[in-house]
Amino acid sequence: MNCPACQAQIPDGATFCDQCGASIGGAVPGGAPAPPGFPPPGPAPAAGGSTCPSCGTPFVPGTAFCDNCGASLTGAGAPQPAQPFPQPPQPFPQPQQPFPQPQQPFPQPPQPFPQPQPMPGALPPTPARLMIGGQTIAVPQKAEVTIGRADVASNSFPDIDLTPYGASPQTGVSRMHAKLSWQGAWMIEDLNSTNGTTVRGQKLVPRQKTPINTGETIIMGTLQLTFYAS
Amino acid sequence: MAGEVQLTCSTHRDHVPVLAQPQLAYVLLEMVTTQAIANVQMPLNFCFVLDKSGSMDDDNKIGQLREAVKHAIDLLQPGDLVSIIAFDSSPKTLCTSQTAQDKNRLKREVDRLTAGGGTQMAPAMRAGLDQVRRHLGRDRVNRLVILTDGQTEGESDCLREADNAAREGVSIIALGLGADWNDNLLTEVAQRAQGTADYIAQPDQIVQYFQRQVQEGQGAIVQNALLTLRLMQGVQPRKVWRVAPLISDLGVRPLSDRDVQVPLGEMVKDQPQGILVELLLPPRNDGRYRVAQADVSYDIPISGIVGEHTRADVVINYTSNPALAQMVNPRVMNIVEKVTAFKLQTRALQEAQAGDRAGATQKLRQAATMLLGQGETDLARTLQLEADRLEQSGQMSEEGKKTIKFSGGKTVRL
Repeated sequence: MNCPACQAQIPDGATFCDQCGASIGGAVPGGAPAPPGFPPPGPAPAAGGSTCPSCGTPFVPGTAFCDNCGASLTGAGAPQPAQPFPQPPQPFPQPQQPFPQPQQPFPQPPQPFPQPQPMPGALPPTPARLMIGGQTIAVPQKAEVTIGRADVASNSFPDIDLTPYGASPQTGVSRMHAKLSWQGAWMIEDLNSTNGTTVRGQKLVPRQKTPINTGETIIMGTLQLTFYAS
Repeated sequence: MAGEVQLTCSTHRDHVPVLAQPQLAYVLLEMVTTQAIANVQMPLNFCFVLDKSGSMDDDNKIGQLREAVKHAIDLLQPGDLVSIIAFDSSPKTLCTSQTAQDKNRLKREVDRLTAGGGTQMAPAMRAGLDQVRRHLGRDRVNRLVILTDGQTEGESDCLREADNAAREGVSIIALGLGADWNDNLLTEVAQRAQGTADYIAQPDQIVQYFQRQVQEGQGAIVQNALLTLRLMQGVQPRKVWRVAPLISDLGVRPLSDRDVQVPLGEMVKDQPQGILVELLLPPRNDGRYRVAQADVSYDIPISGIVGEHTRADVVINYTSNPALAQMVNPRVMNIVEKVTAFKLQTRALQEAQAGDRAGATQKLRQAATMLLGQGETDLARTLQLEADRLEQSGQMSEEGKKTIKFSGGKTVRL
């Protein structure tokens, strides 16, 4: 008999094609009733399409940890799925963002931002909050609030511990990852975290304060939070 | 007969996404001996090659060594062969190769072991090899178990003796005691002779290490194990790691476009072997695919078994359902992370050696974070301590370096 996917000659009763590996006569899992086979050849991707969010080394999709720096790549740079056959060829692969980015209504200029007038010592008038996956985290009413992942071993206790919300070395959240500060307006800075902080689609320059507005998304490692000033 | 070795396969994902480009999959192959050979033991042909140089008098190392050898003798079967060479600047034969029938007499010979003199390992290796050679046989574990606490003269001679041992089918276990021996030399000696090197931090631990050597030797019933992977068209092998009992890079020997071989060597009874294979999968549509067929061939010389096989399929589902494609097998992912931590540690040691303080410090800390998350707290603490030390003084401690080098690969327990 012949393999239905690649037409290679295979022995009667074979469960898998010896050439292309396709399952013979088995139910197709995953719901999609597409025949086993090969997606249409797209333009060959140069280097697999993704780079490590930590050190920029290119990696092949599916890689769990960066070969160069060891950063966790699970969830990072997940490429667009290919269109299953038969579909008109698509101009894939799409250019990849390190993390899924929310749509921005208007582009923001890169650093440096104009610094608002500082009001030293003053506390925010209303308590701010962060939303993550439908849960609300109250931001303590202080002039400076650190965000990260509590770690007893290294005696690291940020004001906001994201561990209950999924922060771990695997999700790329550092122990002291970022800091919110009130200077008459809310500012955010990345505390030289391993995997960086992204606001308005821009990766923050470490240790440099940037204004953050209500409703904007903060990405730390692979976690996505939304900031609300009140 | 078949069924002495059981082979199982798991992948880091049961379902991988349908992509237009190649993607990586991690395959864990586990091999363990079965009940069929539970009662089989391999007879030993061991020679203990023991450093008795002057420094062995410190901290009663020599006393602990005597006790450890006597304990090892207690564990021998009457049919096991044993010889003992003590060395300083020259080798002295305490016991010529003999069966372990009269254990009391053997132990009395061990009591003659006293410390004094210099350290010349190569002539002692030659003398040990002479003893093992008297009863060389494929149905025995022919092995030198070397213990030293110092730097030897004539390092290149040691390597030559290791090559000689390997040529005759004699493996070498090289154990270093304390901080003052050359880990590169012992590692190289062991590697050339299909053995392992290890680090014994404290003299009172010698007894455990010797016990393990005897028990693992007696359990080493599966020999010449060889893994062959027949890959689906378009699949490329990227890396093959042994992950248990020790993490090491095994390398890939391509046989043809679609077949690769991985020499596994010896398998110890009841000691699971883990192999992690990184495969580059080609694009495919939705469906179920056998991406590789794994075959392990092996001999069990003591039972007269030659060229037996065990096989398993590596099957992966390609799916367009993103929810399915996101599910990972945490057990496999934990092992992938431990291998990554091992790689970071290995590179950190190399970079520290080359003077790249910042690079080494960062890698040690990254590895420590990973290992803490995995519950490997002792090793993680050593890594953090050595990272701090390196950052502050530019130097790691000898003990720390040796702990990282020899414990860094022991994190996977199957």
